[in-house]
Amino acid sequence: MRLPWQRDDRDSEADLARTPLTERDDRLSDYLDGLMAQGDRRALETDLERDADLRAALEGMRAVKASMGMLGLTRAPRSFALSPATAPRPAGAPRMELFARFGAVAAALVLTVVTLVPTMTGQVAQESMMRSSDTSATSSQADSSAEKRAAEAPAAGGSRAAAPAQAPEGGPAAGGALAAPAAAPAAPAAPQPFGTTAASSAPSEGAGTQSALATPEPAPLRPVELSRAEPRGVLWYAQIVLAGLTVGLGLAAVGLFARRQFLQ
Amino acid sequence: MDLQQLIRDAQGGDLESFNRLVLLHQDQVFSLALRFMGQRAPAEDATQEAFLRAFRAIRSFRGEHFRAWLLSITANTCRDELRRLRRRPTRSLDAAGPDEDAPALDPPDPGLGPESLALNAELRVALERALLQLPEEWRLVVVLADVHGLSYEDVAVAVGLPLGTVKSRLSRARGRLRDILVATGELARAAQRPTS
Repeated sequence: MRLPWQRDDRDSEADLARTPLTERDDRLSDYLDGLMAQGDRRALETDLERDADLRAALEGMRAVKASMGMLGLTRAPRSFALSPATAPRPAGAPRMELFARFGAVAAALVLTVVTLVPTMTGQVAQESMMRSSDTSATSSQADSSAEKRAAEAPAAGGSRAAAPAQAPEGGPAAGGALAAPAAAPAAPAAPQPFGTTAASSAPSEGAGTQSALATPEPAPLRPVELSRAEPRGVLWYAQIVLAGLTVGLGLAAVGLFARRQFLQ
Repeated sequence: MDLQQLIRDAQGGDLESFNRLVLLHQDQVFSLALRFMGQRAPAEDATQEAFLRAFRAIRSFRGEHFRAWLLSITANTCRDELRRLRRRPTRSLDAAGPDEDAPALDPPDPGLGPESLALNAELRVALERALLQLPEEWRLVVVLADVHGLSYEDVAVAVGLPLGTVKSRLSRARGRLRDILVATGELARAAQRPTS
């Protein structure tokens, strides 16, 4: 005979497969427990009258059930009462439970805010930088207009005067790229997201001093601004989804923890 | 003090009330652990652990099936203990392994009731041995239903299974026990001799 920990019960589920014999035992067990419907009960009793094997199976099961009922309980060999020194602290104390649940949610929210705020702040910074680049582009265009006017006076055309004239067609990137090296060739272009180019670094010393002399003209709508709107929105929504996932996962974790802790 | 009041007090953290619940139920818990584990020492360990877990989780108890709830904790504790023993069988447990000539289970205390004496000693030993040959989940269901007298619903609560599964496991367990006892001839002998 093998003790429970020396046996492998992994095949016990396979033993639940239905066979004629197990179906017979299902009927007999239901009959013994009085769980059969009237019609099924009569049908079984008819079968019992005709089938000696079925009667033997029923009597054997009845004997087992009766014997099991007479096994009785075994008296505990000692008291299993808990001593105050060894008793664990009950889990799920109302205050601790509230603290655990709301604390975890609060932690998830803090995590979300910590994740989102710098990013959103970064977006605000980007926007302000873009605004400043717009201003500088406007200044640079104004400078170019002034230069153009100045150049027209001596009737001498230059590559530098021609470049700003292309700016509205080629966009600020082209204009800026041409204007910046001339104005501040040594200044490296600051890293700009979403295709912002050296136009933002254009307001350098030379251009700046010239812009003070020129009359600013209204900046034309820049195509790059339209293309910026979509990726920024996608990023923002992605962050919202991530934040939602974070909160959801946090709640799920708390729920699982509580279930395991309180329901064993 | 009634059971519900003891439970409420224990849920409030009153260890003394919980210990009264322990004393009321420890025979049930130990009996289940003994039949599940097959030997006294691991059954005692499982019983103590079950009460520790029950105290830790007492505030989660809702409803009126306290015994079924407690026995479900016992069953889970025994499963964990069996898994642990399978992973790391200790020398002492091996040394205390099965003896072909002796029942793994101790006979019940005669003082528990006249019905305990009614079952023939040989049949009792044969039945206890046959129980240990059942898959553990079948054994659990049949012990809870036929020895502890739990209703199908309470057994379902205790083992955490649907009612239909409980019914089919119970019938298979009874059928298997009958077949084992018939094969050993014990059932026929028991039918011939009068109960003591």
